[in-house]
Amino acid sequence: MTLLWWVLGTVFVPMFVGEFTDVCPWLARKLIHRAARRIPEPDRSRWESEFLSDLEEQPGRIWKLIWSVGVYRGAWQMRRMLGAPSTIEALRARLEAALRKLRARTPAARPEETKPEPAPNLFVSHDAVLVSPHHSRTMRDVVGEREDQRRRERLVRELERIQAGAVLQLREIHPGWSEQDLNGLLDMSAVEFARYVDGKRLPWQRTAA
Amino acid sequence: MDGPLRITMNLAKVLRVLLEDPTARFYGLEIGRAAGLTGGSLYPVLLKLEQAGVLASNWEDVDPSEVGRPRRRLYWLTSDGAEYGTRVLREAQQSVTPRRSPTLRRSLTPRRSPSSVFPAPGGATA
Repeated sequence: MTLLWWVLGTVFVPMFVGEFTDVCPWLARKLIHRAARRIPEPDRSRWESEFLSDLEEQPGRIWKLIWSVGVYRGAWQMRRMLGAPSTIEALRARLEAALRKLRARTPAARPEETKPEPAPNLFVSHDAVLVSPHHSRTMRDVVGEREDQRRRERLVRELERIQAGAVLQLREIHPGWSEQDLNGLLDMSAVEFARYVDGKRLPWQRTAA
Repeated sequence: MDGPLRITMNLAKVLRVLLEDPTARFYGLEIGRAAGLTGGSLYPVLLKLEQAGVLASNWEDVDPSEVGRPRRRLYWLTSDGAEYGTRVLREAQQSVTPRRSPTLRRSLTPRRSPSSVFPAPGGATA
């Protein structure tokens, strides 16, 4: 362990220190260039030359780096004095420009999806209209009308059947009746027809009784 | 002179150094060493004074290969700047009492010129 510390202390540490001190002037010049970039045109080249000129006259390698750090710090102050926006203002301006660019960009035209056209279902649409709360009353009326119509049709068909059966029986009972008499019977209302049938005492009426 | 300057300690130090010899021309590093300022605080002061018209500057008229160093930027007080600097320093000295701020008063008081800090090779002062 002692040997390790000895190797580190006598070989590596001086090597790193020497390397660092050799790099310091290069780093200092880099820092000066970066400091000059903080200064807006057209004063940039003038101040950069002055910084580099004064850097060359700084004694020592590490001191050059320390001095350039100070120049870099002062360059920010000079930047504001020369009318350039501060970092926050520059960042805000860049963000606002990016936002304006994004808002100005038109959206890309999307290919229209080819969906199959649904078959028209009139009943569905009609029922949907009827089911809606606004048309609930209309729906009841329509359903009621349909029911009444079906009932009426059923009664009419039954009456026709009864009338037809009645006409046949009447012809059997009264073969001498003319067609006009039979048509007159058919024009009667259902009540009158029933009363007439009761009065005539038809066979099927008597069977039912 | 564009307008009134905000007098700071560093600005007063630089003015004091320049007013030691109002006709002489100094380069930035020379002023900084005499005023005790490093680059980070010196150059903004020089820029402020130059913008206000107190200072004027120009590149040194030498050949870098002959002198063996880069050209220097030389600064000197303008005629208005010398008058302005003298008045500002006098007002600043009057407004600061030694008991309240001895350090500031010492910095406003002329003590030594850059030429005494960096004597000329021949021994003569500029």
